[in-house]
Amino acid sequence: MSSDQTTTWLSDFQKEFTQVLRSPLDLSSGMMRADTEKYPRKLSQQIMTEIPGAANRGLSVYNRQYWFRLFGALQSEFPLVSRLLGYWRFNGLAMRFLSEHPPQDVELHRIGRGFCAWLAQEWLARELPAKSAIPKIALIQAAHIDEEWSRIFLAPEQPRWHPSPDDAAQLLNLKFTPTATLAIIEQQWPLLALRSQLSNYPGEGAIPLPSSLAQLEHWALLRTDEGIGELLLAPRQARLYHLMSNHTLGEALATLEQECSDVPPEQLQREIASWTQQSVELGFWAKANI
Amino acid sequence: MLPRDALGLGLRIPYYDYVFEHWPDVDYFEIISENFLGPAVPPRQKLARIRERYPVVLHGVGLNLLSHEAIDERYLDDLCRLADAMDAPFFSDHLCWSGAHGMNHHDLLPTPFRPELVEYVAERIDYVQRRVGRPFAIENLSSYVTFQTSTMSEWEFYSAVVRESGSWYMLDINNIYVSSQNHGFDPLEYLRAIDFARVQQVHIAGHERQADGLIIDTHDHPVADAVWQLYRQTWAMSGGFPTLLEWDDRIPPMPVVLAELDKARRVRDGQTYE
Repeated sequence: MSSDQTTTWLSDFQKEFTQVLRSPLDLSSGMMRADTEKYPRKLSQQIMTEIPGAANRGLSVYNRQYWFRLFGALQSEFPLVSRLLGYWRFNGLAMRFLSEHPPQDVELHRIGRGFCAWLAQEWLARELPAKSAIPKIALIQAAHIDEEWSRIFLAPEQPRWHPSPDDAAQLLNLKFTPTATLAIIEQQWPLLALRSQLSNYPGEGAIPLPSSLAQLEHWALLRTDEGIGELLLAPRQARLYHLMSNHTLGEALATLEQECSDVPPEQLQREIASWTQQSVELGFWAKANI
Repeated sequence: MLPRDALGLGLRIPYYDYVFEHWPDVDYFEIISENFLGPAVPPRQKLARIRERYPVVLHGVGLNLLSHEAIDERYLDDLCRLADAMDAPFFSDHLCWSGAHGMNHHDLLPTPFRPELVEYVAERIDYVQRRVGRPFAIENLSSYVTFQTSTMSEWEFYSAVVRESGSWYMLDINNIYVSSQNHGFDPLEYLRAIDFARVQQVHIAGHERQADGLIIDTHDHPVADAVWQLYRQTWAMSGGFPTLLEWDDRIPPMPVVLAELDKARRVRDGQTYE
């Protein structure tokens, strides 16, 4: 066999084996069973066995191992949403997502890229059972927190921006870029606190959603050398940082002043000065450019 | 090179706190390369602290040596950087494929054993070893199927690949035992085919026997008695080798894992380990 023929032969073999691995598990029995009827007959016939049916038994180990490894990885990336749903229901969703989005990257933790958006758009919008005890928005917020937590944990280190004398002179014209280790999230339920207490809930079943907060909360999550820190933000403060991330500082301030016309201007200016300074001191910004 | 009697542990996240507090008596750690290839800072910071005190070797699961697809050059770039940062005495990966047709399956998958595949994979291994510039050791799989299209035994295939590529063995004793039970061969016949002068390291780990007798390589139990026995026989056949314990799931407190590793010392000294 020439080298090209070997590559072609491997390609064909691996295509069939891939079909085995990615055959969805059958959930109908209440267990995640390998559905061996779906395996390519040609591959099954290549398996050596002295016991009838044992060929597919060996292949089913790979089939189940494939899915359960991915389930475990996705549960690790989305601990909050997987526990709120319970692993059985989460794994069913994970299998649908991963059937549509096969893992491609060598880094296992990247298999969840796009899962949060998929949950929000493809599943929660259509198929959350009406009787579900968990509001859709709580699950979306939980998935977003999980996704952002993972993103900032895995982000590369970036330099923190500090104003130079030149910057100070043209502050209002600067557009700020948030550091990759910063996330600003919102929660209507105490999801961050729940996330930190998940180890108190052994098992795989769904855990209860705590009572709703009196008002929507905004939090900054920032990775530091000590871990991921959490800082509760005032609603206007979160809005300021959002505007600063998308406009020049001058435009951001003008927009915020317009939106907060019910706040005395002196108070708003004090708040803005304090929040801006705090964000710089904490290292929210990677750079600022005109 | 590690000392031929070195005892090491596969470094896993639950060990960090214990290691940083107690700095246990372990000769070296082995890391899963893929966990440290990305830009994430926290894992690298922890690894740098470990490296200050211990030798670190690299064990990969993603080189995809037996795939129909080309070797991933970006992966190799990252692997070179990591190996250099650790000044790793050697690095290893598996004699398997782990992805195909643009997908990464994140598993260690078998192929039939055929002479044309020896040539194919040996060339790729030789390339990787030259590219990384360090001894490259190849691990044998545990497996749950064998193929009628195989024309060689696993040990003939494995040894031919190591010989033809100029690489090294990363011999997993538990895997030999698991596959011998699943496929009905004599593990000692396997071991007799090994050139122990080219063994960089031996792995030991736990497994689980299913109700129907099939053994799954779970790495979530203590090492089985039968594997310790095979380890003792392997040690007697060889001139010694660095030994590494892997425990990847249902990981107990680190002192329990260290006690399991210490059994290796007693087994090869001919003592009982109970």
